Amino acid sequence: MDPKMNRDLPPRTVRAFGFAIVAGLVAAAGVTQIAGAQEQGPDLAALNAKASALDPDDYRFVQPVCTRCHSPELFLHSRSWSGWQGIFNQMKGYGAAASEEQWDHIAGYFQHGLTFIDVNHADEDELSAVLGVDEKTAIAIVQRRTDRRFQAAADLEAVPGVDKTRIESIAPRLLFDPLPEDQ
Amino acid sequence: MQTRKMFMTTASLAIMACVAGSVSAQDKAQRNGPAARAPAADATVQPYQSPPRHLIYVATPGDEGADDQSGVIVLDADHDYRFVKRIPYGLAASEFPGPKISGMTSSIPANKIYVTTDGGSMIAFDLKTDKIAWTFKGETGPVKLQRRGAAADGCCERPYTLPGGKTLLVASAYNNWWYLIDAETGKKLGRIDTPETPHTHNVAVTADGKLAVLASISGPKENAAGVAVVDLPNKKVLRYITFSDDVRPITINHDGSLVYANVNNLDGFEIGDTKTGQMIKRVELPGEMWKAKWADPNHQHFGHGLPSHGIGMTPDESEIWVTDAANSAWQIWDNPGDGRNPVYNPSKTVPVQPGIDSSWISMTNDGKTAFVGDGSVIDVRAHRVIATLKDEYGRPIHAMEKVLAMTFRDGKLVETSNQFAIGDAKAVEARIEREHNRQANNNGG
Repeated sequence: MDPKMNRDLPPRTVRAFGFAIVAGLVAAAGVTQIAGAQEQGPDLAALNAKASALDPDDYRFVQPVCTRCHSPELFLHSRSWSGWQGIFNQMKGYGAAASEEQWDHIAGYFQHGLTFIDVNHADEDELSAVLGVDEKTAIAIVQRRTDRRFQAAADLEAVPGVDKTRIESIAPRLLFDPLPEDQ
Repeated sequence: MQTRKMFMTTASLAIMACVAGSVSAQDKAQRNGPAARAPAADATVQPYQSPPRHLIYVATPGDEGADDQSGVIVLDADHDYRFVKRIPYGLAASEFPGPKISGMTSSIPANKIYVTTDGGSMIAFDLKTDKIAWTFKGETGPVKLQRRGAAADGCCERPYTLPGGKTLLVASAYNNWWYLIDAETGKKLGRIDTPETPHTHNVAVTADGKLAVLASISGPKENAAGVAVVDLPNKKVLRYITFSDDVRPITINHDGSLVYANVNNLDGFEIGDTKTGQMIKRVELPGEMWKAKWADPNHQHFGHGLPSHGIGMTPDESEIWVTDAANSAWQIWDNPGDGRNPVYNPSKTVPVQPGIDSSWISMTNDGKTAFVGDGSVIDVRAHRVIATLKDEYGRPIHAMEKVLAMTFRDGKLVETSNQFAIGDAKAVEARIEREHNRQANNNGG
């Protein structure tokens, strides 16, 4: 910087100039620290392992889009499928971008491992994705519930084509009454 | 000026350093992940979108006001079709419930819905305010009435929003012409005359906007055709099709090559070929299921004066749904191949509320849900009634012929169905691919 130029500047401008440099450096240091924490934090590897364990194949597609910017800790809890769709829209607004194929895998990951399902209201597509059943079985579930609502996991397991092991593994995510709206 | 430039340059450099540091750190974190990295994202960044809101708009009253309703009833499809609000027509108490609503459509770019009435008007409502945006009246002088109950100004029967959402095609009031109306302003843009179909009523248009199938409640008894096939860009009638009796509700396949029509005195439908102008097939429900009831003058449950007033097809054209007043049910025909030989499938019959006219069908664009005339909501794939629509007083909504399933984001209409359940090219293509894959899997391929 030209010392003469500096000498000609009013004190207020010099202060602002100095502030801009300091602010920039502080911001850079802060972001690097946050990213560094994600990179080096003792829990991150465990969280990644936990997230991957839900579905290792599809988690490969989640990583470049989701955990590129934040820790898996932010999504390792269940929501309704409409809730997840709202989150996806929000993330897209923040700049999360993916190909159609990637979004398909990401949707599969969340539906399979992290979605509550309202068994007495979800449509056939959601039932198929979350319960891991084919379309014919999903239709049978809808037909069954129009006659008599499902009350418990055992009712669901009684529908031909439903995998009992799968139902047992996701039992905490089966809802037999609607979720509150904010979820 | 020079000072400001230097200040901005320095600040920009600082910010760039910050962003570069951040990206670098994120890349490292990614590489340290437990699994291999998927292909890089190649999609463009999409703008923020609020969650969609799915609403059902039902325009009332139905025939003769017998349903005891008035206004457009709005229901929440995301929450068990609970009541949201009623949009009034601005009538004085002495005018309630107002004239029968003859049709409803909507426009995404104009953010409006439109209802046509037997009272000689078409009314546009702004969906942001729910206020009347404009009212279209038909002709300035009285017209020759072609049918009992028609309005003297010649306006209006079923409306249809043309692709792009900027123009509405609207039937005159049971007369022999159609209006083209500007969706934004309500101004008349043109008129299509169909002299051989004297009582315009129902309509369907192909997705490319090139072909319109314009139906009329007319037939051989009055030496008239039942359907006009129209080259829409040129506003020219290509040919007419005459069915065995007066034509009532219709549906078309995705390219408009076939029209499936309810006709008077038939529990079932007939198929017309729009390229040749010929009626090619009559499809009846098995005679023992309806003919004796239809012949019994004491039978009370034939709304609209015929056994089948209501027809639609799933968007993928795999099924044709036809109302069956004789048995208070919706009957379903499987529709394989080129759609010329539907096969009745009694295992798919959907019983609805007995004694209530179920005289129309509309479907959501994805073909998952159907809304039928008695107020039942049907899961299409399961062939089961899953809900009955009710108003704010808990009363069932009957005479539910004018229904739109619409999606909103931030108060703006972003997706809409139309009043007619017709074939959709993309859904047909997806079905063919599914069937092909299934066949390949069965063959071990």
